[in-house]
Amino acid sequence: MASEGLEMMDHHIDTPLFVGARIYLDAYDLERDPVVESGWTHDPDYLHLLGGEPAMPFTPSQVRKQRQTLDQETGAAYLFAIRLPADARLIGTLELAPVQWALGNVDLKLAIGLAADRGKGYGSEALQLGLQYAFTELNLFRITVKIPDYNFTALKMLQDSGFIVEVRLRKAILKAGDYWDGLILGLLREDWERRRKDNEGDR
Amino acid sequence: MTGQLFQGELVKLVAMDPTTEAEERSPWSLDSEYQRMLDAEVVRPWSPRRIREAWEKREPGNGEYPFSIRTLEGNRLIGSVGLEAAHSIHGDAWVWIGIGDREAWGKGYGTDAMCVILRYAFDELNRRRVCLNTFEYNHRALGLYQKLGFVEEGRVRKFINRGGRRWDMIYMGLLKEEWIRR
Repeated sequence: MASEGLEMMDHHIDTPLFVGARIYLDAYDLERDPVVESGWTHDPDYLHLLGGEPAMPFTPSQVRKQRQTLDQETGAAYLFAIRLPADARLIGTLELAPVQWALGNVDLKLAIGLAADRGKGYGSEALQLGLQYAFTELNLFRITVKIPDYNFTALKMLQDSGFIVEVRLRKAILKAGDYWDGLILGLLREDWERRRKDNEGDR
Repeated sequence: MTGQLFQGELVKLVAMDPTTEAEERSPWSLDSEYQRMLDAEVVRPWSPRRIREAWEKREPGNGEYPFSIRTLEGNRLIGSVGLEAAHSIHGDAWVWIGIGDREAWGKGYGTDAMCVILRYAFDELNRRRVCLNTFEYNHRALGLYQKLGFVEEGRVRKFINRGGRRWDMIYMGLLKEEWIRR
């Protein structure tokens, strides 16, 4: 019986959690990765796509300090480096933080650093690994993502993965003279599992 | 210009001073229903000492504007209200309120305190948008916010697990133009 139950789920003890078809999730390297990230922050688009914070270039040591602070909340923050297998190059970051254990919720933040690395499906692959990790390893109940509504690419990618726009904070973002809405999207584990099962059935 | 920026019809907002208020605030934390209305933190009793320590860790400024609510009649401490993230470049701020003294529920104190803090947010801090969130089981708060003109902007589904089931977290917002119209 027990093994039959396991057969029905399409994730197993040996399902790879960190390896996608073209990218993999790695430990974040506090020595070297902040140098790369510092470079990304010199592109205003990079920070604008993530949220409403004012664009601001950060030095490697400033990035390191931000990442260390996140890391110090042990058990509450899960930070991954997204790398390409060919040369282990850092192309983005995936952050599951803070985990709110009593609520069963986590906020997910995903960034692909260089414009040249966007639009290739790397982010989407990292997202799938992030969802799998949050639901099957952290055993959470739901995942929350916050984006500005001008980030159409992220919105489409999230909706394609089953996320639903739950909240629209009207005119919450003022950027270059225009008002934009802040979006909160959510994905429940029950919906994610149903989609997985349906996809399995389609094959 | 009004000289009564911190005063409403029933209450006044004063500086929050946990060093002198901790003894009065501590019993509120034993009221689990109150705490469950207030936020998503795991409910636990807070000793006066813990209250003081938690406050000492917080850094004032940085867009945080917390106040204690006192009745005009009798100068009684009944709760707190505040703004957060009020230095955002986008001109928005988050508002929160809690009336810890049960005796003071249902008497219009919360409404009055909200009117004072909204005026402070729009007229003094020049915010153009104030928003908040609350849980779908908090009917008293939802009624108050609707009455003040807040518009529901969405629901984070099944956000909190309390009392044996999951509940939505409801987001509401009030734009300056909507506030002025009222």
